[in-house]
Parts: sequence; C-alpha cells; structure tokens
Amino acid sequence: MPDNRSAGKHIPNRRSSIQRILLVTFVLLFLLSGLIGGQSLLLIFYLPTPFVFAYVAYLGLRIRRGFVVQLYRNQALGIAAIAAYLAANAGISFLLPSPANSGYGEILVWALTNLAGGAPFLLWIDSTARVARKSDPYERDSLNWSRVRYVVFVVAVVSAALGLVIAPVVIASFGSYVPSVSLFANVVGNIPFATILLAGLLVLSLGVVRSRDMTLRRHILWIAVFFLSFMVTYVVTVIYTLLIPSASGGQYTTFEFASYIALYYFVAYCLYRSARSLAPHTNRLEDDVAGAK
Amino acid sequence: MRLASTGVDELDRLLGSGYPDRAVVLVSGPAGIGKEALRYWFIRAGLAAGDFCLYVTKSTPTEVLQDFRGFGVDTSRVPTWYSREGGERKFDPNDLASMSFNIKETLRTNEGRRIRIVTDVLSSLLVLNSTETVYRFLSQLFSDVKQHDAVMLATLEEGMHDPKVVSTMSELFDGVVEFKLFEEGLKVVPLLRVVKMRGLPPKLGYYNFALTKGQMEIRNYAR
Repeated sequence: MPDNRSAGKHIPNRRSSIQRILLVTFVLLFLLSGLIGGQSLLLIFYLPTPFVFAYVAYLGLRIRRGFVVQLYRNQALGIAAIAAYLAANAGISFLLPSPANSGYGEILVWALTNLAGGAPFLLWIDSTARVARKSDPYERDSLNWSRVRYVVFVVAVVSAALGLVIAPVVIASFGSYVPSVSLFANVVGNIPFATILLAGLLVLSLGVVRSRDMTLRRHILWIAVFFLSFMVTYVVTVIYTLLIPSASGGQYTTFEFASYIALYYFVAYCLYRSARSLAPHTNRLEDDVAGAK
Repeated sequence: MRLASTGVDELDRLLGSGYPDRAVVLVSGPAGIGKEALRYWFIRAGLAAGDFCLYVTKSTPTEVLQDFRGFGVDTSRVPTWYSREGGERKFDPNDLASMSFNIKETLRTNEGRRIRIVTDVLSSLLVLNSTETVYRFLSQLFSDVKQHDAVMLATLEEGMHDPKVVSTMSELFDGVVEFKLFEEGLKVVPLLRVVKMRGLPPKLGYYNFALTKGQMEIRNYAR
C-alpha cells in the first residue's frame, strides 16, 4: 500500500518559533497570576477568550474563501460557525451570571445559546461526512448518511423547538433555581446536541477509516481532541454547577477558575489547529513566484 | 496540431487554444479547490463540438450530473458513462484489466471521431493498487489514447498521496495543471499554474482564479 503520511501536510513557517516563545510567556504569566493574584488577576486571562474564538472563526472564513467547491466551503463555514458560537458562549458567560443566580430572561438566553449550538455542529458534521465519502476510493455512503442526515436534522430541530417551549415553562413554574429543575433543563436542552454529536461520532468514525485523505484525517483528529476537551469542560462545568455547593452559588475556587480558563484556551487551540488543517495551504511560493518574474 | 478546447476561454488563451491533440493531461491539487470544474467544462466543450465524450467515474452519473449543475454546466447533453453503477459499463477500481479493455473498445468503436476521456478515478486507483501497477496500466492506456484522435484529462487528489507519487504521475502525463492554496498575509488564495504542456514552453507563473456564473476567471498573480 502506498505511503501517503506526509501528503497534504502544512509546512511550518518562520513565525513558529516566535509563536512558541509568546505561548510559553503567556502560560508562565497565567500560572504566576493564579499563584499571586488569585481570581481577580486570572480574570484578565478570561477576557480575551471570546476574541480568541472570534479569531478562529475569522480564520475559518478566510480558508473558506480559498475553496471553490461548495461542500468544502460549507465545511470551513461549519468550523467558523462553531468558533463563533463558542465566542458568543464565552462572552455570555462573562456578561451573564451563572444560571444558578439568573432570572427568567437570563436563563432563557442560556437556553437559546445552548439550543443554537447544535446548528454549527450539524453543518460541520454533515459537510465533513460528505467530504469523507468523496475521499473514499469506493465512495461508500457511510451509514446511509445521505438519507440519515435528514432524520438527524428533523430530530435536532424538533427537540430544539420542544426545548425552547419546555425550558421557560419549567423555569416559570419553579420561579427560581432548583438543582433538579436545572438537571431536567439540561437533559431537555441537550437532546439536539446529543443527537447531532452521536450521529456525527458514528458517521465520522466510519468515514475517517474509509477516507484516504490525510488532510481530512488530520482535520478530524484535531476536531476529536477538540470535542474531548470541550466535553471535559462541559462535564466539569455541570458537575460544579450541580454538585459542588460553592459552584452552585456562583463562586469558584482559584484552582477551579484557572482550570476552566486553561481548558477554554486548549479548546480554542484545538479548534484553531482543526481550522488550519482544513486545507494544506502553503506560504512558500517565493522561489516559484520569483522564477515566474 | 489540432487543439481541444478546455471549455474555459481564459485557460484556452493561456494554452494557445486548448489541450494538444492526442495528449493526456493531469490536473492535480488539494480537495475542494475546483479541479472537477476543468473536467466538467472540458466535457461540456466536447459535447458542444460534437465529440464523443467518455466519463470514467467512481460516483454515479446522477451524482456527477448534480455536480455539473452545481458548477453551472448545462446537462441537456450527457457523456457516455463508465461508473460504479448506472453507467453504460461498470467501473471497478480493483479491475484494471477490465477498465483497460473497455476504454480500448470505446476508442476502437469510435474510430474517426474526436474523442474526449475524462476521469476522476486516478486517486482511487493509486490508493487501491501499487504505484508500479498503476504506472504500467496508465502507460498502456496512454499509448492507446495516442493512437486515436483522443484527448484524456485526469484529476489527482494531492492530499491522498505521497508527494513522490504525485511527482511520478506528473512525469507520465503530457500536460500538468497544478492547483494550490496560497496563504498570502491574512488571505488564502486559490492559484493555478501550467507546470508543463506538450508543445508549449515551460510556464512558471502562477495565476489566481475564481469561478463565477459557470465560468472561470483567470488573472495573472503577482504578490
């Protein structure tokens, strides 16, 4: 079998070493702030997170413009939309108090944000499943995705609509924060997400095995790490909110807060790498272009 | 030397009226950059000129025609299909002998007509067979194509192969058109260049391109 491991690999450029130095400095400052300044100083590191995600969204859109085929443009748009959603989420997390201390309107914003999150993930999963099919030598329709996608779409939309109806009713009935209500709202609110992610996990696991495109495999690998870290962030947040009394009161310890910020940055980094690996673009045409002149 | 229009006016001008007669042309580049557009427009130009057009694909004709329409290509006239299913003949990427026989038979049957062959199966063949086997198969196939009034266009997905394989394949073809995504500051620009074309002096320059309203706009690229 031919070896194609190096195919489509992005070539690192001379900016890489400067980026590494900046990254190490940033990590050291972050650790030092946590040790000396506590949460108030760590807040400085939290503030840029929406902008970091916004940059990844911009990067996705930038790469999208390079593609000519609509399917690949949709895939890049999916990454940009996921990053934009996370930017909005990070921003809302800063501007609004945690659901535990929220009023009716604020909880509705939280519910809307959660439910809206399914759309970018569905866009990315659908386009990536179809891209994977194109790079399968036999062009197999993994799990009949060309038909199953409509079922997933309908389930996601219907459950999101139900969630939007049920969540405010439940919140209005209880009037204030109750852990069991929060758990119920979490379950209802996450049906669309769970449906989309489960379908995506199944179809892309098969698709990535069948695909022979190293660019796509690299992209999916980074997204897999992204999902894993994203899920860790999510689970940690839910556990804090539901189980730890200090967290449900909206108060995090410095360690919890620092871990939360670090995870956010890691999630953003994975998404950044996945966006960059969408296409093997190069910035080394110098010799060729010089030759042309 | 007769030339076969590429179906793209600006690319025709770049190549001095089209691909050379009895030539085999390779279009390589990353996925999603629009290599398939050159296949579709080449077929469209052939059908418009009354040439016999053969499309060898790993997809189904319905899927390819859907893509044709996506690129703004008229589908009132369609080529002859060798495909996974639904075509005049069945394409099996593991059966190179059958493929070779079928194409040879088509060339013989349409003797006297200008023939255009377009294929998207090269990457699949290279993934499922050794490079040596595909090299031998293509050498024989190209020899048959050149004995007839035929022009063949194949596309290659760069991300699926080692650069050495891409380079080896490039050597086998009479013409190579390369697509690239170039990172220029904050932009990612799609570029193309004619690496080589039989009958033309080597052209090293890159061209920026865009697909609009079923046509391809090609501009000189200078940073």
